[in-house]
Amino acid sequence: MSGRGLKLLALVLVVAGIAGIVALTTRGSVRSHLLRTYEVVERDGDSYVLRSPDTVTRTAADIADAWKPAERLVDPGGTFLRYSDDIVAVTPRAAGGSTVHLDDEDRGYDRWFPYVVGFWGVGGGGGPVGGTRGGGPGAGK
Amino acid sequence: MVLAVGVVAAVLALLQPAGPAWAANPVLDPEDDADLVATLAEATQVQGVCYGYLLTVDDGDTGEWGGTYAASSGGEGVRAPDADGCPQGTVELVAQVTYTSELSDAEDSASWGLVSDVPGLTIADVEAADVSADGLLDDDGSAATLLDAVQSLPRLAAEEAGLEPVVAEPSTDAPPEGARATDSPGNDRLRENLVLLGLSVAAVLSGLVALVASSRPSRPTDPWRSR
Repeated sequence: MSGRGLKLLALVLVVAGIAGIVALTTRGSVRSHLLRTYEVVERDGDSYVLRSPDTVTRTAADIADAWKPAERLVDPGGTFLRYSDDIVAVTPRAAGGSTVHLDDEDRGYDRWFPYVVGFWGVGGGGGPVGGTRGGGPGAGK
Repeated sequence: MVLAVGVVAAVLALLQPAGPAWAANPVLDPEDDADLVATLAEATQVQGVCYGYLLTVDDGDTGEWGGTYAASSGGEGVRAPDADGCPQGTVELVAQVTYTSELSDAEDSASWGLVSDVPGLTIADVEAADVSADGLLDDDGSAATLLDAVQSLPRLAAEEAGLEPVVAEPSTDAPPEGARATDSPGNDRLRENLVLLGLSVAAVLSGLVALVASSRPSRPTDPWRSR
């Protein structure tokens, strides 16, 4: 390849790479995605209650597809998604559809403590409360 | 003579490989089962449907884990069809796990199905939430797989059959002192875009290397060579 061609290729790679880094690091967050996607019903500081026309299963899957959660917890009463700064709880609505609760991590942990304790944290006194989702035979291949 | 036979039998019995004193559930420990039973019992109160799981383990490796395990709204060790107080029927996740010997070429395997009185509810609905029977073979994730699958049943019954949903309500009570989330969940953007971000950084670095290479002065022609 000629020196000029190599220089051109180098510039294209640098520009494309920088554009990719900028695009990926300024993509937003699960919080902005939720506020953009669902109807806000209630707001209290950084906490939001939003409404989705879809079922819990569908709504939680859509959110997880858009922003992969660090952890996911399924309960008969809803699905809980854990992110770096936020906790998202998707619960069913008797009238149809689902409710999306968006809280920062501290408040979300406090509010959904009875459901997520033992899975994402400790319940005071140092020890986990409830299931630990561990175990296994250690014999798998 | 009888005494001699008895002694020989006793000695032979002692020489046999020791089997497990009891089989343990390889997926859920007793605490998990107790929590699951309490959770399912609450759903049964709302919907009138009993939920549970039946796990059959064939342990061809150590034999330690082989057995049949169950838990349901009716209690630990109680199968959903055997539970009391289920006016709307039962839904049971029936799973099978096979651990093969380390010496065998065969792989461990797992499968599951759903036995349901609730119309329209199938195992495909359970798997639509990104869980599969193969997760039961994952040492670190088997408990989460089984819990997620079983605990999703009341919600799926509400979605698929129109039963009254069980609704998780946020707590208004302050959690106990010292209660806190543990283990950092990591960075959302890195989790979501790690591969693309890696490719972008690689592109920039490759471009810089190519830029440096293209800026080098070209090797002068050896004047003697052309002569």
